[in-house]
Amino acid sequence: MFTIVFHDLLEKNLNERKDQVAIIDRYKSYTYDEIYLKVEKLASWMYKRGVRKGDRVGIYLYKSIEEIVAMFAASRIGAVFVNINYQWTVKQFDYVVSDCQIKFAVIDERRCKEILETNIPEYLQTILVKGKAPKEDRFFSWESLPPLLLPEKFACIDLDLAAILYTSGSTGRPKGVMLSSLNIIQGARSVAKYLNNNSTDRVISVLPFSFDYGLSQLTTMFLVGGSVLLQPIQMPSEIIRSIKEYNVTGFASVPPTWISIVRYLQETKANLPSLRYITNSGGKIPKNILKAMQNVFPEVAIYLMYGLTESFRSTYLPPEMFEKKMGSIGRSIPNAETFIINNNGDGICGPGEEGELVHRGVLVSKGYWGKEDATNEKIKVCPALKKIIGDEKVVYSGDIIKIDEDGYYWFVSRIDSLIKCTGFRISPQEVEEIVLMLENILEAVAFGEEDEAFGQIVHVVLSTIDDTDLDKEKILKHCKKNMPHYMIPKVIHQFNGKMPKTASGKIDVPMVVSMFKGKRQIEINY
Amino acid sequence: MNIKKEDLIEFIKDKVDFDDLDEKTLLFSEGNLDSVSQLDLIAFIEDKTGVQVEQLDVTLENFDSIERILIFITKKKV
Repeated sequence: MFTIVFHDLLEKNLNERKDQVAIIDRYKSYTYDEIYLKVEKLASWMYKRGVRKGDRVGIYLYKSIEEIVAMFAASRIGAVFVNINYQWTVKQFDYVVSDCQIKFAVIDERRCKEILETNIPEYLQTILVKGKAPKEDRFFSWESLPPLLLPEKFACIDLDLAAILYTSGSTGRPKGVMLSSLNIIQGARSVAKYLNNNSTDRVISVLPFSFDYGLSQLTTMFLVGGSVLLQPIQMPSEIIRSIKEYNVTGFASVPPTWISIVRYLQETKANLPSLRYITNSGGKIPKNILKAMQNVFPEVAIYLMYGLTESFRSTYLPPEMFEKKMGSIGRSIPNAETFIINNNGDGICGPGEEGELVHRGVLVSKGYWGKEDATNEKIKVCPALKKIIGDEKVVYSGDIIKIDEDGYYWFVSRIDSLIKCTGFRISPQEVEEIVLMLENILEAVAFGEEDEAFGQIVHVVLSTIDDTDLDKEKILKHCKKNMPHYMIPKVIHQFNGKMPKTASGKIDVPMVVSMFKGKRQIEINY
Repeated sequence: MNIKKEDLIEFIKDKVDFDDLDEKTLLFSEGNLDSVSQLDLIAFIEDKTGVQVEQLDVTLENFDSIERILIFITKKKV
């Protein structure tokens, strides 16, 4: 069977391996057939509740079999799944619901209480609760789904929207990156190709499915007929234990986790005979940890990779080059073409030069939901490439990459002010906007400070109305309610007086950042 | 150099919006705390008790509830 739409990733396995374990969730395993039946049941009910092709289905669950069933159920009827990171607050869930007008949401009991206290929009017609549902209109319990039958197949094509994954940009609130089935499936193909995935593979899924890197653990395995072990607990001891217990062959993660895993393995000297490969993306691993990885992961292929949600994945470093090119992000993945464009934007860089990476190919997403301007800023024609590809649009990464003499890429820096903490993108502007909601805060500037464990941590500089002292506890409490944990500023600086302005009257952000970056917490009189 | 149940409840509530947190609430295995809060929590415990938390110690058995954390700290001090 050919894999054309997202749901095919599940269905294609029913012929050859319907009784093979596909997902392991908390000691319980599910075969492809068992998952298929669960999907049919949920999809039928979704359809009965009025979900149709193109409608958005929000999934706000802790990593579980239900999260996966909900994704495939949406796809089964041509709807679009929108995974919302479980670490996000209910306020952020509300934001996503209204941003892409979610019609049907799947949540758990814990979030249910808080969601009941909010103003649920009219277009959100069904809220399915994993567990006990309150006796309220529009709320239903997953356990009481009736057996139903779906009408025949739905005509969907690969270009149809399959998912929306929310990610932060350097300005404003998170944006929904639209992915077609073609984007997702071709992405899985490219990755499975360079990782040499096959049906004997079993990956451990630690990363959230709301993250394209996390989602690809599922898509690559289903594409090749392998299996996925769900491990939502990010404790090295638990991760290593499950790798051993379930004979995991592949493990994908981000730099902060690699740092703690390496330290753990150095202490315990654990043996992981089943592990065939590990991958990294979402940031740079410190050099000393990279070196240590060779010792704690003998005979394991190490893949360093790079990509952005808007084009899924761009480059990878083949494991045989890991030692020679330690820290490089490698070269283009199969079926993707990358170019490094010079400063002026009118030429392509060669060996020894650096510039902005742009990505061309089928992995280029369909843009941001409801944000045409932002989309056109990010995905557009590249003048330097017109002679080669004409008016074909490419994704501008916003990253400065250097090419070495052998054509291998090295990450240099971000062009803009995007902060990256534990692999998650944080918009400084979003942090500022949220803090500015507080009454006595006059001005706010957020920036990232390098941190070995987290990648970067969030700092915020604040000035108050009337120059009163900052109530840090109050600020943190407010942040806690409105931000996921990784976004909450780790350091709050007070700026006495008013912040310096540029000629156009805006806050001179670079000036303010330079006053506080790399310094201890101090107060400045200006 | 001692830590009480109340100290931990306060610390955690400070970081994450938690309605009904008690000493038996599962912290990590139900997704209530993430990896970032995990690191912060460990730093807080080391700070307040002087106990050195090793990588090997960080398991669900030792950290998944306030009750378990208190038992772990007592054992470590011995």
